[in-house]
Amino acid sequence: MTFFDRHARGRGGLVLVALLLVAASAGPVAAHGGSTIDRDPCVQKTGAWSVHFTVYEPQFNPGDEYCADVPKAGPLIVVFDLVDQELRKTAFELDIVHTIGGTRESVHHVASKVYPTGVINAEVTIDSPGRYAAILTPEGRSAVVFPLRVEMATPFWVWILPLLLAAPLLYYWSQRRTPPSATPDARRNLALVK
Amino acid sequence: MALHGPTAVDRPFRQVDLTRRRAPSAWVALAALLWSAPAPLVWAHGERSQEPFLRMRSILFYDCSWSTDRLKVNDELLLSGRFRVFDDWPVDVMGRPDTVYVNTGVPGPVFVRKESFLNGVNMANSTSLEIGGDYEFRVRLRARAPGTYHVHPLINVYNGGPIQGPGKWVTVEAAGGPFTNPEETLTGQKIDLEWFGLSTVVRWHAVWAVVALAWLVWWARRPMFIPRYILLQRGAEDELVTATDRKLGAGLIVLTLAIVLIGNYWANSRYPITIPLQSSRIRVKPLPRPAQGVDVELVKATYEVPGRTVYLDLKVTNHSDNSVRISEFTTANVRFLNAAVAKDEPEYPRDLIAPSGLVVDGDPAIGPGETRVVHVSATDPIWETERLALLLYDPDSRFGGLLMFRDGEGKRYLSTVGGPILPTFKLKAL
Repeated sequence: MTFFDRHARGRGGLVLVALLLVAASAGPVAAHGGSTIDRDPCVQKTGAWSVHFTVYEPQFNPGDEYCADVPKAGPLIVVFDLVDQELRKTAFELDIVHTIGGTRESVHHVASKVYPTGVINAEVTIDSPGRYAAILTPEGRSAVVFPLRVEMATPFWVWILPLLLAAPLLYYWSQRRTPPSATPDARRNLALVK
Repeated sequence: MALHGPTAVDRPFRQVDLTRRRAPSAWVALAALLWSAPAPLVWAHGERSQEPFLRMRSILFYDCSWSTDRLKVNDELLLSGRFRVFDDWPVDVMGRPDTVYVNTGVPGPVFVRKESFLNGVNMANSTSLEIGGDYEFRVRLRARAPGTYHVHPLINVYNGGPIQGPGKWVTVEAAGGPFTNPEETLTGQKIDLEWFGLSTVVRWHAVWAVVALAWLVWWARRPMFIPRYILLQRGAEDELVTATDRKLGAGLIVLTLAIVLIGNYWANSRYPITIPLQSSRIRVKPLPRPAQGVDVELVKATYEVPGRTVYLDLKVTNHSDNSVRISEFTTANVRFLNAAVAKDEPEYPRDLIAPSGLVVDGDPAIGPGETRVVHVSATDPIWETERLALLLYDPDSRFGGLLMFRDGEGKRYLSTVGGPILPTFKLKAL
């Protein structure tokens, strides 16, 4: 009798638990992937037009880009992409602020100006972990706010821990039910197909 | 699912073991169903998810046009343009373009392709492409279903997958009548392909469905998998098939062969003139290339990540008789125009064009016979929004593209450029 035979009953539950774990770990998508710009989580609208936001930490990890959770405090580069051509005729004011309670403390400010190339970028140094916001204010319109959590993301091991804890429990659960005792009963089985 | 292994049958099975429903499986199925239910409809084709090096270094589309972006059901749309088969085609990944097919990228059968041509040759068949060659395509489509669709030219490459051209949103409105697809056959018969032969297809499917269903019911009326498996394991398989089963099987073989023969005879007498599906390849020669052009050699390429700018140092040699200036750089269907030379094209999809995204440093004119290193920058958020910047993280971080030059008389010269590209985070213009 193989391992799978003995544990056949437990596998349905195992699959269910695995599915639930996967489902539970699916948080908001922070990367960009290959989705269309309309479904990109790093895009916000100002009127009918889209602004795409990216944060880089080249000194920490040049291969990654972020838009909501930044892994480390320190020097970073913020980039706003003015996706629609119409936005490239509009003046924008840029503010990076540290939000503490209900107050805002300015970290970086760029006065209102037009960006004909459609790219707004700035080098900013974030001294301490916490909640920040990148605020882009188009002239004559309401501001577009991108909240930033710096060094506040849930560590990866937090997602792994439940799985590690659940594994021995699942094993115990699958061992609990033992197969029926082995007594041949061919007549009964033959009757099943007749 | 329950009984694996040769010794599994050594223990007795109770009826409840064999017939009990697997509740966990049902729950898993329900959970999967609920999970997938809110998935939104997807209208685009995922063109941005294809690896950038494939989009930039395979088929380089240019001069693409759509005859209209709004039409009614039964109206026709002409999709036309050209493409260059990139010189540094990624042979290791895609193989050679020895078998390709001119196609269109639309979401389902919302258009009917009436005809397609490559360099004037009918493209009912596949063809092979010459690396470095230019080709002109033309596809005539007939609108079938109302809606708004992203319509791309598309080249299917055997072993390489589909390479999509630029996509434009096209709206098809209801016409007040049903879709028709009129055609005249070689014998002069006028038919509507939308419905032609449909009743025959349905009838024959029904015949075979009845035969298949009868066969299934014959066996399914008895206990099936696990009890039968048990008998098989115990060497009592003779119990499974009765004499009546054998007679029925033999009868069904005879019936099936008879139906096939009768069907073949009926089809041949009903449709005596037919043309088989065309499956061969046609060789299409590339468009002729002007004798004297402009050669471009890449010296250095850098992508400034925060600036969304590709900087190119190019060694340009002008073999023509006139001074030329760089007018456009196009790659992966994205066009960067030098506003000093090329005019914006409002009809081109706005998300794929940077009307003043290309800047040439210094004296932009390159004289006849002159060789010079030219510094060019292509800036636009398109690099990010079209996911082309992901090239830097590809296993093959080499880009490719098409440079266009124009002389004073408006004559155009095309030249490909490509090579390795390096990222930088140093901002040149804050």
